[in-house]
Parts: sequence; structure tokens; C-alpha cells
Amino acid sequence: MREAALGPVVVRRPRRFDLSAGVWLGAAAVLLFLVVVPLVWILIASVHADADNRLTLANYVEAFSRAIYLTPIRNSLVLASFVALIAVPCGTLLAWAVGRTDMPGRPLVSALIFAAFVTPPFLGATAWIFLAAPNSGWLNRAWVALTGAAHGPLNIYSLAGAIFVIAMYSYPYTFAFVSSGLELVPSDLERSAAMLGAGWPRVAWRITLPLVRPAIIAGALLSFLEAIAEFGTPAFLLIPARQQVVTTQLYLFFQFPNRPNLAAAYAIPLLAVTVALFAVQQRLLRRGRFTTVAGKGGVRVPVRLGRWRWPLFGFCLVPPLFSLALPYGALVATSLSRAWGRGPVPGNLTLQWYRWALVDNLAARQAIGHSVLYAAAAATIATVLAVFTAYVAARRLVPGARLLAFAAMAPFVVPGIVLAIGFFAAYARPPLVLYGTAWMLIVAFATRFLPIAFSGVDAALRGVDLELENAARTLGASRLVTLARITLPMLRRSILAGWLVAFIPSLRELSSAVFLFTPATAVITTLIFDLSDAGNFEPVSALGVIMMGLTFALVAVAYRFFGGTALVQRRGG
Amino acid sequence: MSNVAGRAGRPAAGNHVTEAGKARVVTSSLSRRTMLKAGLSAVGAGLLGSGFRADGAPASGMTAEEEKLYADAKREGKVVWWTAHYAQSAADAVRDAFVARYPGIEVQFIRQTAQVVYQRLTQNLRAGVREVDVFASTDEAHYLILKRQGVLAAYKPLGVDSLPRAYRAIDRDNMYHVGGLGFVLINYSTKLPVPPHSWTDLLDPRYKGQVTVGHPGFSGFVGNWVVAMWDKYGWDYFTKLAKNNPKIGRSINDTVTDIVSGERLVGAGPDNYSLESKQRGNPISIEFPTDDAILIVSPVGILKDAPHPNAARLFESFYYTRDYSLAMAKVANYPLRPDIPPPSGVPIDKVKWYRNKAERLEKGVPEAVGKWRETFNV
Amino acid sequence: MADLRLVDLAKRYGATAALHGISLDVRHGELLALLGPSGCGKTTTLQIVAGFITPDAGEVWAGERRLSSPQGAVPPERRRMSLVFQSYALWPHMTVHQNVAFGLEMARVARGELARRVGRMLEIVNLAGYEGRYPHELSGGQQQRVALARALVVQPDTLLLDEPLSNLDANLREQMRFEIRRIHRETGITMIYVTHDQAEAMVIADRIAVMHQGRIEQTGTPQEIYTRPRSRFVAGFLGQTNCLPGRLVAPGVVRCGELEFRATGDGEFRTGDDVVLCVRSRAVQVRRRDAAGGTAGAPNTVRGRLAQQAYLGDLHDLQIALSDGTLVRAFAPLGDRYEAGQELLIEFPPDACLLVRP
Repeated sequence: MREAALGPVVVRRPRRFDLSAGVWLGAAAVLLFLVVVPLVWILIASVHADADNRLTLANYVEAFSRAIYLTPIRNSLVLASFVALIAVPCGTLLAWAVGRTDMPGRPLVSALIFAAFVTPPFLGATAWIFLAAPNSGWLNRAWVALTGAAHGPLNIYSLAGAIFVIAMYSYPYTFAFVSSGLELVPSDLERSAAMLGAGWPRVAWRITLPLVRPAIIAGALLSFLEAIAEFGTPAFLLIPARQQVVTTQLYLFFQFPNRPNLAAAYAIPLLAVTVALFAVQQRLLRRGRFTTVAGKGGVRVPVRLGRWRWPLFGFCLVPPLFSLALPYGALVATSLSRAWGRGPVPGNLTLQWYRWALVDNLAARQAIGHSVLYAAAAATIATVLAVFTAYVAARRLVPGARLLAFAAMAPFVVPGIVLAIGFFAAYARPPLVLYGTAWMLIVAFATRFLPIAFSGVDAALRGVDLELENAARTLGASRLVTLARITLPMLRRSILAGWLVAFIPSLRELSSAVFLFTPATAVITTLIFDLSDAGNFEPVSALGVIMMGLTFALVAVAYRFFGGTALVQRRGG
Repeated sequence: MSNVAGRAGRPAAGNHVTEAGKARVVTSSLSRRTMLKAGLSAVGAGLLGSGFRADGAPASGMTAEEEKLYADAKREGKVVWWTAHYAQSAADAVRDAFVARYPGIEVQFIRQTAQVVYQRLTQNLRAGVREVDVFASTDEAHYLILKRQGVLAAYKPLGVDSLPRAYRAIDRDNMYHVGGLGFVLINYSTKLPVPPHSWTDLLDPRYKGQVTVGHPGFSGFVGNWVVAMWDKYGWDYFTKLAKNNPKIGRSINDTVTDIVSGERLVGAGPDNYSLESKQRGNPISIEFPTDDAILIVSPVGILKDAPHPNAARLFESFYYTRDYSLAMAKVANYPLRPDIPPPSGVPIDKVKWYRNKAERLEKGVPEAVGKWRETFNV
Repeated sequence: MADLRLVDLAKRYGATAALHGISLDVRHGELLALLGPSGCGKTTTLQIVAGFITPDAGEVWAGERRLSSPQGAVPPERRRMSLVFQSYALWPHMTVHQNVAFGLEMARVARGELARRVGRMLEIVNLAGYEGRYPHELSGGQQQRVALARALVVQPDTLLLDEPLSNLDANLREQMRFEIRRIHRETGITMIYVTHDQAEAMVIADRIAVMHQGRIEQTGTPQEIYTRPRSRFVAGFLGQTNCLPGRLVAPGVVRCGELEFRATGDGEFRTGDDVVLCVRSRAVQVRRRDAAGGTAGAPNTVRGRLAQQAYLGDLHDLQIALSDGTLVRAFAPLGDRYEAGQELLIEFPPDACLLVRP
């Protein structure tokens, strides 16, 4: 009877070797290798003397007892604190204006903030040198010309200058966090306050902002973290100012005379600070989720600003003015000048630097090619690892799977320069020498941006109903087949978005590249860094413009395919 | 494309590259020439024109040794050259001149400050990475160390005897040779009615906030200068200089940028790049200090396990050709050959100079860097 | 195709025990329902049988083959079992055809044969012609049938169903019950059916296992379970029942508070035991105080006062307070009018009185 209904019995295929277990363990091994080995090497290097490789604690003693090495630590803390102090109100105000009010031009402001997010701070620093160098900066010269003063008021070669520049590229983080937080706050809460007689400023201050306090604090912590780990801007602005921060001091340890083990010891506290802050930030975000009203935000009605609409819009254009309009203008103008000191006057205009970068200079052409190639390879490795790790962790396929997820996120708290030191310590010596090859940079970038790719894929994976996979397994699909045929096709968009958010930062990564490249494997950012001494500002600008052109082109492509939201991912959230 | 298969032992592939490569090289050297020509003042102009033929074929005839070396080098096809001797534009000019004389060999070069190229070299050596063929640093001490480590190749370049006698053999074992001569002297903005005349003038309070220098931890020229000042005047010189709040860059060429842009007025700068900038019409000039210009003898050497040994030898020998000296003169560097007039108009033996001993540099530069960091905080 | 045996399955989650020791035999070709309220452990049992969870103790056997034990479990893909999920778990990026064909692809069935089987299965579930549709284009009932088709087309030894009808509306649910019954009859596959709906279990199942707090309270045919429940929970779970705690004072006589009732089914109890007297609400007879034949002294008849009533369309749902305050619920047929406070006579027919363990 049964056969009449369904036909002869289907014979299942015979048992064969299950590749699944091996694949998961392999991915886990690669992950641990990439993340754990460099960090372990930092610890090992820090307790060996530079001169004779003896086991010793002298590095720690030297690093933390000499005043000349303690001052940079203080400077780093001051720098990061002030950056957070500036970036947070900026970002919060913008988030409120864009997310909560009927201010005109909100999409424009959002796009500008995103452009600031994508721009690397060190490029902004370079451009601000053209604008605000104490004697030769254009803004200062304009001031002198207009007011007849002895010299201009701005000096970008100062701690204040560095704080300003870093903050101008840091407020997008707070903006992203607070925007997300605001979306969960229902309008009803604000409207009831309004009905009780509160005007919109008071509503914003007393009701809205306190509700997103966890997001604000999380944004502040992230700004602090990024500022303290930033290398490019301090290198360009603070070395001439003779103020060191921890990252530039680390860099100097690698210069002449060469003290890499001392650098390792010096880097440990930086690592400790970032880990601690990150833990605090995570805890805040988690609690924040619970205290916000659960479920949908309800209908969101924008606050009506009345006659403040346009003034607020003008106000909101000020940060992008400092982050984008002025710096990019200066960069483009310089890249088109024969000699930047003379300014963009007719006799001084030329395309020769672009020709130099794209045609004449072999090193520049190679660097551009390398940037794209390494970034693509790194993003691919990071995404593949992220997919496997997220899957292993979410489905608990190996014991200690949660540790794997932790390992995948761990590089996020490690400042790029520290990671580079670790990679250098691990892979510039036998048995596995990656130094001098393209793989050194690719592996460093992949590790550095694995957390971003991972959080995207992980979040998307949690949205996949487990039953969909279980159904496939009852029908005879092994875990690997299920991953390939069921889970991954459903995650396609998230995976591609993950690839992009690893590719774009790799393209403009400086702080880890500057330690690990050799001239044969130079990328655009290291070339800019190298050329920025000896005052080669014009070719530097041309390279910078080319780099950002590539980046924005890719962002535009991504935007067309995925929409903007896929790219503005909350880090670590 | 004629005679492709004719010559014994020469692979056809090399010749395929040759013609197209020649054309490209001619274009870029022509464009480089046009650019320089536009800015050149009368001092250097007369030297042009005699160097190259229109079709890009080598100017002077080659000796038999040179021909053979060229043939061997062309088989390798590439030379990797790291130099700190001069600014980027001068390095570009040397590259162009070499490729014009020896078509078919690609020059992959890095121009960085001396300590940086040295750092990269030692990192590579420690990791066992063989990347560099020719190493040209401005710090003699580097070569003492490298020779001791046994990583340099002994080779007497062709034409090295064309050097002035005093500079012909700085190393008995031919592991390295003089590759460049230059001075650290006072460069200043032409806005100044009266330039400083001596190093001690730089300490004058009227130059407060107007001085620019490089960094001995990066630049070989600056390292040399710092050790010289230290030996002449004691470290007190620098504690006083610190009071004048100098702008501290990395390369000695940073001083030129600062002066040209108007950021600073006086500096301890290089003769070559300052002069080249002046020739291009920028408001900068040089002054040979009354208390000695610091003579920088910049060596050049070949690595023992260079990836392209023959090309390396050819390149090192290139330093002593007329083509090289002409290219040097064009970019305001001291030509190595005495039969070509110096761009500053002052021959070396007429300059009042002071030179650090190599052994002094070996210990002195690292110590100076340590003291510099304490004094200047960077 | 052998029997499926669950032997003493136990499972803990942290401090709480989800299963305390489940033993069950599922005969080849039967449809067994696991019936119980949410949290009773029926889904956990199903998950262990399917191989997604490993038991902490106990074993699962299919014939001579041990499928699960604390030491390990045969993975789901090798158990020859299919599972129909409560949410259907249809893959949104695949068409109906691709969904149904998936299992056959895994078994490497040849393409022509595969198409034939898929077509035939879709006919069986009345979805012929829907091959090219995507799940989001189908109604709930249609999705449910696709899930069924997908599970059946691979001819599993056992079909597991996890509350497959709970997402459907009432009418459709009743329809689908019969569909499933029909399919079971036609295919003869062993089925384990998890549900919390007792009516569903009664309609569909050959046998029912009632579960409560991680234990199986009783296993039997629907009739056995309904007419001879062995515990208060089972009695109460299938059909609205009045349960009065009391004591067996003499063979067949139960004293509940001040009231005495005659009852059948006292076989396993001894005089002096604590028992619970269960009478289904449908079986309770309600008469007016002074209607003919109503004397308070008649056996199993007591006086009561109407506390509340609800009109349910085809019957009255009456809540009556007895003299000692006990609330009794009775379903009375239409015809009589009832008012709150009215005095009524309640009779528990002796053969409707069941005695169960407390």
C-alpha cells in the first residue's frame, strides 16, 4: 500500500567521510593562529632584551620609569579625552537633528557624515597642514592679509590641532550609535512631554537624550578608543610639534635606534586600556538594550522646529565643513599645484602629479595596485573566516565555541599599531617568515578587520531560523551542505556587505601597514606617509585624492546594491 | 626588432621589451627634461643637450667591460636601489639617466632618509629577506656595521678611479665606495636681508620660531651635523637651540620645504636640494657657514646576496660615469667627476668643511639621537 | 521497519529537569501522539528522537539500531526520519519544487526519477501545479502541505510532526486533521505527532501518550485514555472534568467532605485510600429542585445553587455551588432556563464516576 502511494523505497547514499568536522576545526585553528599568536608574541617579546635577547623585565622598567616615556602616555589620555569631549556633543546633536526633527537637508547631512566616516584622519591631518600651518597655512595667510596681523591664529602643529583633526573624523561614530538608539525611542514619550507644556528644546534635553544615554556613552568610549589608538594624525602633526603620544612613541621605538622589544613592553598598557574600555562599552550597550522600550518604536513624528529649521541646518553643516569641504578642497588644490606654497593660482596649475602617480612613477602605480589587491584579499579572508566562525559559534559545533566568537572580536580592541608589532614579532622571524611578502600586510589587514566582518555576519546569522537548517539536516544534508545550500544563500547580502566593510578600511589602513611593509609591498597609505617627509606635499595630495576616489567609487557601488544602512554598521554592537 | 635571433646567447624576450621600453623611457626622460629645463637658470643650462641623442641610444661609447656587464645585467632585467643621498626628484633624474644609458633594465628604487632605509635593510636581513641590490646611505657608520656583519659584496666599480684621489678608496676592501658628496650648510629665505653666517648665529634669539631642522633619528645628513655640532660646541649647542623653538621634521630636505613655503626663515639644510629649489625660482638661498660646512660623504655599496648581482654592479659603476655626474649637476648635486663644474660654483676643495670620522659616527649618532630625544622631546 | 523504542530518556537544562525518564514503544506503522500542555517535555522528547539533542540518560532504539544515548547520537541526517516543523521551515529562497526535491537531491536520486516523485507527492497533498511558487506566495495551509510533502517524499522510516497545525485557523485545522489521518493510512509510515490540543490527538492518533512535567502519565488508545484515565491530570486534560478529593470509606463508596458518592472503577484502591472522584462535566445531570423524580435522598444526588452560567450556543455551561461550597461545573443541554441563585439537584451518575489517584 505504501509503495503504491510513494513508489519504491529510496536508498540513501552510503556513509562517507564527514568533512564537516575537519572544516570547522580548520577554520578555528586559522582563527586562533591569526589572533592569538601575534598577541602572545608581544608578551614574549616584551620580556626579552633588545640587545642580546636575554629574558628580563628591564623593558617594563625602562618604559615606565623614564619621564620621557611617561609624558606620551599622559598626552595620549589628554588627546583621547578631549576628542571624546568634542566628538560626542557634535555627533549627538547631529543624530538628534537628522533623526528626530524636520530639519531640511537631512539626507545631505547624513551623506556628508558618512563621507567623513570613510575618510582616514591622517589624510585630513595632511590637508589641515596646508590650511593651518602656523606661517604658511592658507587660512593663516588669509587672516594676515585680511586683518594685517603679524601672523595667523592657527597652529595645527599642536596637541589642540591633533585633537581637532581627530575629533572631526570621530563624531560619525557617536552619530551612528545615537541614531540607532533614537530609532528605538517611541514618539509617544516625547509627545506626552510636549502635551504637558514642554517646548522642543526641553523635550530633547530632558526626555530624548536621557533615553539614549547608553548609546551616547558607548559612542564616547569608542571615540576615546579610536583616538588613543590613532597613529597617522599624531605622526603628521605632533612629531613636528615635539609632543609624543603612545602610538608615535611606539613608532619611534622602531626607528633608529631599533628597540622592538621595548616597544612591545610599552604597548601592553595601551592594550590593557583599550580592552578595559571596550568591556565597559559592551556592558553599557547590553544594558542599554534592555532599558529601552522593547519592540517597535511606534510611529515617529519629527519634532517641528519652526523658525529654527534653517539655522539648525546651517549649524549641522559646520562639522562637515571642517571634515570635508576645507580639507578636500585643500587636497585637490595642492594636487593640482606645481608648488603648493604658491597656492592654486593660474600659473601654478598642473596635472603632472596625477601623471606621476598613475603613469610615471613605478612605485606609485605599484602601490595603488597593491592597495586594491591586498584590501580585496584581506576582505575575502576576513569574510570567509567570519562566516565559518560565526556559524561554528552560533551552532556550537565545537566545544568552547563561544571562545571562538570572542577571538574573532578580539582584534577590535587591539590598536592597529600594537597588532602590527605583534605580527612583526611573530612573522618576521623563522619558522614562518611573512615579512617582506604581500601576505604580511594581507594577514594583518584581515585580522584587523575580521571583527567588523564578523559582527555583521553574526548578526545576520542570528536572524536565520534554526529550524530552516534542521529541516535540511533531517532530509539528509550534512552540516556543511546545509551551510552551503541553505544558510549562505540566505545570508548573501549580509556577507557581501561584510566584505565591503572589511575592504574599505583595508584600503586606507595606515597604522598597521607602516610597520609591516617593505618597499616591495608598499601601499598607497605607506607611500603617502613616506613621501610626507621632505615636503612632497603635491604628490602626497595626488595620491590621497586617488585613494579617496577609489574608496568613494566603491562606496557608491555598494550603496547602489545594498542601500546605505548595510554599511553604517554599529561597531561592536 | 631586427637582429632578434642573431646574437648568440641573448634571449629574444629581452629584445621585445627593448624597443617599446626605449620609447617609453625616452618619453619620460624627455618630459622630465622639459620640466627641469623650464626652471633652470643659466648656471646649469649650458650643460644640457650634450648628454643625450634624440633616439635615446647611449651617449658615450661603452668599454668592452661595460658592454659585457650590461649584457649580463640585461638578462637579470631589474635592479633594486635604496638611496638616501638626495631628494625624490634627484633620484628620479638618476633613474631616468640610468635607463637612458642602459635600456632594458628596470630600476625599482626607494628614496628615504638614511636611518629609515637602514632600518628597513636590517629588518630585511634579520628576516632573511633578499630584496635590495644597491644600498646608498648618507651615514658612513652604516657601512662599518654592514661590513662587519659581512653582508656587503667586494667589488671595484668600473670608472671609480675617475673620482678625485682623496675620495677614491674610503674602504680598503672595496666593500663600499663614495657615492655622493654634499654639505650641510645654512639655508635661508631670500626675504631675509642678512642671512646668518655661522652655526652659532642660529642660536640668536632673533631667529626664535624661525628655525627649521631635520631629525638625526631619520636623516643621515642631520645625524652628521648633530654629531659635528656636538663635537665642536658641546651638547649645550642644542639646549640653546631648543630655546629658539625650531621646527623639527624628519629629512634634511624638510628644511627646504619649510623655507620655500614661508613657514620658517632659516635652517640647517642640504646644499643640493636647496640649490635645486633655488634654480626652480623659489625664494631660497644657501650660505656656507664660517665655522665650517659639514661635509657628508655618502657611500654606496652592493649587497652580497643581491637578487640581481650584475645589474647591481652596473648600477654602482653608473655612479662614476659622465651621465651620472651630469644628472647630478642638473639637480644641483656635487658631480663626482672633477671634469664637470659644480652647481654652486664652488669646488669642494675651496669649501671650508668639517667631516666626521666614520668610527665617530658609529657610536656618536645613536648617542646623539638619545640626547636629542631628551632635549627636544621627539 | 522496526519499532521505535524510547528507554528511560532524561534531560536536564541547568537546574531544571525537562524529562524525568520517558519510556515509550512506538509500533511500526502507528501514529502516536505526544499530548500535553506547554512545558511538559513533548518537544524535547521529539528533538531527542530526531537527534538534535543528546539525552542525559536513556536511549533511543530503532529496531536493533541504537540511535541516541548519553555517549552520542547518530546525526539527524542519518536517522531516516523526517520532521515537519511548527513553523514549516520552508526555505524562502527556493521554490516549492526545490523545497520538496531537496531530500531527494541529498539522496542523489536521478533527475527524471526526482521530478516524477516530486510531482506525485504534490498531487498527494493537493498542490499539483504549484511547483514554481515561492513560499511567501502561498497561504498558511498550502505552506503546511508543502512541508508535509517535503518530509514524506524521502520515504522516511519515521515521520515526526511538531505541532504542525497550531498556526492554522480553527476550520483549516479541523480539515487538516483528516488530511493527515488519510495520508497516514495511505502511506503507513510510523508517525510521532506532538500536540497540546486534545481534540486533535483524539482524531488523529492510534495511541496517545499524555505527558506532564517531564513524565508520561498514561499511554493508551484515545478511548482508553478518555474513559479510564489513571491520574487526576489525565482526567482533567481530556475534556472538562470535576475532580473532588475524598477517601474510599467502603468498596465503591467515596466520601468527599460531607458528601458520599457511589463510584465504579475502584479496582486498584483499598478501603481507607485517598482518592479523587472525577466526573466529566458532560456527564453531570442537572435537575430542578422540585422536578419529577428528584429526591435529595437518591444515590449520588446532591443539592446545589447556581452560581454562574454561560450560554455556549449548543449547551449551557453551569457553575453550581454545592452545600459544602465545592464548585461543580456541568454542561446542560438546551431547553431549560437557568437563573443565578436557583436551587438545583446535581446527580453524578455512578457509572460516570471515576476514581483516580490524587
